[in-house]
Amino acid sequence: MARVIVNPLRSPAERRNLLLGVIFASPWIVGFLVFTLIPLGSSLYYSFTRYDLLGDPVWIGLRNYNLLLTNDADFRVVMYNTLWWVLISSPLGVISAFLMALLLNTNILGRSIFRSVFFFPSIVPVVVTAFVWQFLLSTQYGAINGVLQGWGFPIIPFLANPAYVKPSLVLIHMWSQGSAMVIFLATLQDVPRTLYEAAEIDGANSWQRLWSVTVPMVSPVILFNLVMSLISGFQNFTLPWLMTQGGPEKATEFYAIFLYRNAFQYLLMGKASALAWFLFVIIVLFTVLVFRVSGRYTYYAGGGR
Amino acid sequence: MATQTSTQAKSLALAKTTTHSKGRLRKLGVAGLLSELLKYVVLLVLAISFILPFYWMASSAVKNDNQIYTVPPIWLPSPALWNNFWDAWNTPSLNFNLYTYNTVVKYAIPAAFGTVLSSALVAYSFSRIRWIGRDTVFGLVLATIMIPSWVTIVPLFIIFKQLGWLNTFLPLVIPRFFGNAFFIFLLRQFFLTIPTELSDAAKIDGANEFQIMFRVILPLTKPALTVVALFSFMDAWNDYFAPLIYVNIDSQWVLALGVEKMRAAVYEMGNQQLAYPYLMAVSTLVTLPIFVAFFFAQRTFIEGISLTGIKG
Amino acid sequence: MSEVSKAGISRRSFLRGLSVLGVGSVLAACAPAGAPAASSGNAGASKESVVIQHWVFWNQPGKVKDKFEASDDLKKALGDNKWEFRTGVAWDAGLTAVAGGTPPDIGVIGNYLKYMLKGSVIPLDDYISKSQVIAKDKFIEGNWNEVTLDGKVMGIPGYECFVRRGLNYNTRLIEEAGLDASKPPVTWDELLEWHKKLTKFDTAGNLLQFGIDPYDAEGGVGPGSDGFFLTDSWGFDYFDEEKKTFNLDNELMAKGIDVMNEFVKIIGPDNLAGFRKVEGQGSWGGSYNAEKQAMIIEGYWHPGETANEKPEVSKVNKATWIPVPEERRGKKVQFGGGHMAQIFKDAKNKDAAWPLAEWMQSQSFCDIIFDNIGWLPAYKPYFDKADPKKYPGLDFYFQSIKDADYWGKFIRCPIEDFISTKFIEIRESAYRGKMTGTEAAQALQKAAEDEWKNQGLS
Repeated sequence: MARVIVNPLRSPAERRNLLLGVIFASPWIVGFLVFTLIPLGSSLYYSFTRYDLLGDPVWIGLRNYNLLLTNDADFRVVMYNTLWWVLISSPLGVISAFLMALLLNTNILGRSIFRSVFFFPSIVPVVVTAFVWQFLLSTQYGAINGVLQGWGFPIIPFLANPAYVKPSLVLIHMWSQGSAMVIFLATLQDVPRTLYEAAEIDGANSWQRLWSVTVPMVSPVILFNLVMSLISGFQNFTLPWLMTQGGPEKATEFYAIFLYRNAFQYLLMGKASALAWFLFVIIVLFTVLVFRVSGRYTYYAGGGR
Repeated sequence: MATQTSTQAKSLALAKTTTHSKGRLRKLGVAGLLSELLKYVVLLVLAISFILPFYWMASSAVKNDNQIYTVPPIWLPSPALWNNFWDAWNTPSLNFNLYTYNTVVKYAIPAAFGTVLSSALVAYSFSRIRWIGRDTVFGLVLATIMIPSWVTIVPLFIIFKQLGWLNTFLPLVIPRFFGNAFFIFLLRQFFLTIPTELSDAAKIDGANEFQIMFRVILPLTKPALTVVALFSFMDAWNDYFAPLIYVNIDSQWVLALGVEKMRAAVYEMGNQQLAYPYLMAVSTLVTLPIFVAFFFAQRTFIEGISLTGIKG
Repeated sequence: MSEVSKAGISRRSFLRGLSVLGVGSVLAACAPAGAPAASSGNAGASKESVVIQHWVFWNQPGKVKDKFEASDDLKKALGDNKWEFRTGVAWDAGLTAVAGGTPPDIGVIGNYLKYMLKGSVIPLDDYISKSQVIAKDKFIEGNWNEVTLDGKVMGIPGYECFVRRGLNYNTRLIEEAGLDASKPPVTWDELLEWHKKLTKFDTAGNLLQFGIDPYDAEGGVGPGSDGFFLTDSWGFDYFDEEKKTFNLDNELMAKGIDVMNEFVKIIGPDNLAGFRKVEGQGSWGGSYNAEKQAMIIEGYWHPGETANEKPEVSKVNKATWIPVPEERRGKKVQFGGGHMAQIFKDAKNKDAAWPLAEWMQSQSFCDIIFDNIGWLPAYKPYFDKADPKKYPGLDFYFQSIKDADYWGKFIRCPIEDFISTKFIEIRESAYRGKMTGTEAAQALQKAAEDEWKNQGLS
């Protein structure tokens, strides 16, 4: 839109367009105000109060934040768990999706069947995923431990041991990366074949072609998937909530579970709101950081935007 | 929710499965043959590990109380208790017929309708009307993806409480009538691909913007709208969190809550050994429609997308 | 190029959106937050037919709903009104409903003390003064004390009351292990000997059977309507209601944790997790019914519930006193407690709900609950006529009322739910070897004191 604009709303056509544009966009604008912006503001207000819903909010200033950051051993455990989860599960999830997509992008028979098989777990109800895996991995009744026990091996306490439970959840996370995989696959298929041919003429082997052609060409999508995965990783709730309720020994007490407990089990709405805002700030910082760092490494066609 | 975010990303995903890589002919040496073989071995192992949990679910659903705890585990139950599906679905103290009705009629259909309508309107604004500040607002729409839903959960609970909306489907359905960032983004991509000449021609014929949208643009983007409708329907079908918070009375429960309560219900009623078979039976039944929808919808998308000639 | 990156989420537009968002948030923060409007629950005295919401947290009553509905006593209590009976209401869900202003009219949904302290339930004294059925002297004293706060009655004992301390054991498994089922253990040391003999592993070291999980069922309860088991067995009070001080960091607490953890260490904490809630299957007493666990610390309901759920195990069930430390050898410990129906402040049909509190004491109601589930009320007129020999092991509990020489105290502590949660966490750290009993007791004390301050109590 390279135009010289003196007064943006000078022409009646532009005024008309603005009006129409806003009318058409109004569902989102109203929804944003009512369901996001106003709640955001009230939640900030509640975060400075002690509020149990049964009585009125009591203003206590920064006390909620202060206690969280200085005198809450649980919060430290929860932060550790959450950062562990985000830093391990997000990259591994993206990598597993990328590898599956690479595999499917080669010349294989029955690709669409494999694609469907890999994709399907990501759309089953999360309640089902939770219970099926809980049952599979159970120490007493699980299929995997049943096989081990039947063959005379010791069982693996997937969900019963604090050291095993997070990796087990990562495994399930990697298992349900179908959507990211499909995004990768579509992007891989868009990489111009001529680039590979040129690289081949230059004598690049398949490993070099992967690193010098494929990865740079899909780097924006890697970034997209990574950011999405970070954002949802910080909010990880339903799977650990249904499978382990934060245990054993708090090893899966993630941020959102802690927040839910404080809000709806202990009715500490003020503390929960402080937690929520703290989470918001962390997510924004992480996202900005990822964009900043990736800016150096991400390739955008047409000279970057 | 986190899960919602990821399922919505799927709309982006499926919309992009249009092109097929062209087969490359090449001659295979011994090494090449081995690597081909290896590739299929890896694929098969992966595929089995993806299918196995579902097979375990379905096969455990028809086990009796002895088969469930046998070591080593039984993979092909005999006798298979097909009745488990019926009995589990009709567990006393739960009402899965009602939960299905609630999920589909009271939640998923209105939610899908609201999402499609509102997201299409907003996407239209961001793609086919040039207005001052449009791109900034659109950036804002995308930025909202970053806002954790947890920040708003406490105030929203309080707002819905004051409105008297708790224990109704309003807190679940009404917000869907105000657009969804992912679907706005998706539909905008589709709308952008339609030549402006079509709109201009309609304008010359005297059509206003609403008429252009509903008569020209939407009919051309039916596959995309189907994608949005399907995914928002499935979001609702799979949703556990919002009902957990806002719907607190079992006459208003949805399927996800019913499945969660299944085990406790069976367990405390005295059929402890049947808790897992019953749980797996309802899990299978709840997953089945998703499976069927996916099976058919995948083709619809790909055909629809290629019909409109949009290239990924 | 991908559409995603090409047209949409580029860094710049994202960051631009972000900055706008930041400004918006600050603006929103200045807007006044909505003050919670007190929803008025009118005691609907109209003659119109209403739907009475009646919720309980257990699932079991769901299976006798038909029997309830067929009884004349319920029809009489309801009159023209309808009845929505909801079972399996988790404590959290109940709390959310009460906090959300959508409580049941009459509910047995846990968190009793919290609702009393927060004023979420109404005093029932006016109803009681007019009632033919309900009066203080018709209930077990301990249960009546439990429902009373500051001289006002805030609930009516119902559904499941009576005594809650007993060691149940499976005589078949005991005899199989070569032990004498007629001489059950009295002290923790003796129990540990049995535990060792009853715990079996396969050659790969996988658990096949175990003696007792001391934290299963009643053995694991922290402060609340079921009392604090560990403090009953070791004989101390964890909280002083007058002085508002905690007594968790003491030698008895430390020893109690160490002793009970010894049992868990023999089973292996990971093995135990499989039987416990972390993997879903292990709800209360599940492994006892499956004959994987030979002994269990349970209340009077255990004989009846087992008979109704697993008759073959019930036939070999016996009950005795809970174990005590050596220095208290011979102490006969018991605790009385239970559940109550409360009428909620925000309820729509308070007056119409009251007759249901009376119905819960009726002959037909109590028979249905006792016969089909195994529960007893706190209502003396029923209780005096109930058959102690109805279920194997039940007579111990009836007799224990007369014989007990130490009754665990019912203590009201505003943060009892927090301490209960903390106790479970800290003891797990201890049996996983992260801290000693002494450190665990200190940690519990500190957590309790911090929480007390954080909640602004004094």
